Amino acid sequence: MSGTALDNPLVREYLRTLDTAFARLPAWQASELREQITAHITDSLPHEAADEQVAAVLARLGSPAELAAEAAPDANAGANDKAGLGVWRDDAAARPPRQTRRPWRNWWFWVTAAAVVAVVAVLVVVETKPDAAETAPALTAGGAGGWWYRQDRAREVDTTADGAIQSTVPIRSGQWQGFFVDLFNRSDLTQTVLGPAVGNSLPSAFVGSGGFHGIIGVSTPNREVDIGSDVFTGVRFVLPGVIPPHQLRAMRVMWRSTTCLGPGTEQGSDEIALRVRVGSIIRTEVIWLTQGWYVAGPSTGKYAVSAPNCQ
Amino acid sequence: MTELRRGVLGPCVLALLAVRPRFGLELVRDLAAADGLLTSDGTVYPLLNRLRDARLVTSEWRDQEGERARRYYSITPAGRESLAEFRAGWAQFAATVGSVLSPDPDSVGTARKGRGQ
Repeated sequence: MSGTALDNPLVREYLRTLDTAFARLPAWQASELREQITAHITDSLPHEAADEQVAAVLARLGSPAELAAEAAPDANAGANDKAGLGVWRDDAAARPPRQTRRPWRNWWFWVTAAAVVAVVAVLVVVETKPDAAETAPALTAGGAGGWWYRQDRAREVDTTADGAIQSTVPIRSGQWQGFFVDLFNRSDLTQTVLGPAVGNSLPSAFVGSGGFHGIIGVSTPNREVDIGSDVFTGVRFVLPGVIPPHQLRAMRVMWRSTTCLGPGTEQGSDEIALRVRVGSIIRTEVIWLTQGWYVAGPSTGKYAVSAPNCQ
Repeated sequence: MTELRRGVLGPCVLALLAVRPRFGLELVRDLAAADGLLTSDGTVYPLLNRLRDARLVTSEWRDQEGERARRYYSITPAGRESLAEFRAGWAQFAATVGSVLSPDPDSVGTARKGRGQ
């Protein structure tokens, strides 16, 4: 345990309940609120807070259901007051007069309806304009990254050749290995990582003979990720992974190392191809991982090059 | 009272941010210091997001030496306008409510007299 407040079981349970309560909110809204609440908890509590302290902070925060209700669109006091500032406004004046006739018999109903349809049509065209999605910059990997497992971090060897950096760890045959990198969405559109692109999405070392056995996940909003930390306590990795415009997330690539490597051989890659939804289109983005991530032989056990499995 | 609190919380947030930008917990603590204003700390965040959506508030991440990066909230020019509007209306509103809740016996009597004239 690294001892952050987010490791506390009470906090974990609270955040889990929060996620459930926020499920009915739009994803972007839920993500933002979760980030804010998590930051509030982290700022409120010392690293090794007693359960009593934690319970008090969570009680003052309010129940997850209460927060979700407050965040819901209908939580505002007045319909004319999305900012919740309406106490000095004349709500009675803003309220439409009670209709005694059917509204569609009024000329203004049809004018308003036509205007609304026109506005919606324009918004739909702008929002779904393929050009904007097609020209949106691809996701880029940031500087932060590392091997996921401690045993790999302990044995990684960094080398540089022609200015390119490569991080290599011994293959741990049949076991899970993986790395994480920061992913930044520089575009003005939300980009959603759907998974590895079919075909050459991952280097063979990550894939193995039977296809990709691994898991790609994108972090949900998290302070540790936001500040570029490589400490991922409490971070969840999900797929599809939503990355809002101009925001940073961490991507974790995990696989079971089932490839057969001889002594002195290595496999890996410095890029990965992902299927990404951008606006209304789905495209393949080849992402440079800022360095090479490699596993080195020899593989062992049933994945040893001399084993029948590898012949 | 809950609805009233909810209604005035936005202007109170704007008033605090008009003094200086603050991060979430700082804002919550300053609001909580005004006894009875906050029903729960967490409700400030949805409100901040609504204020942001209404372009009355902006937020940015700031790195400060020796501390975690924090999201700081600042008031926008539109927020200041909105706050000024609220301040102007609030004094009159509070006086009106006050006069109804605690009527001055003399003025009520005068009014009754006046009606008969």
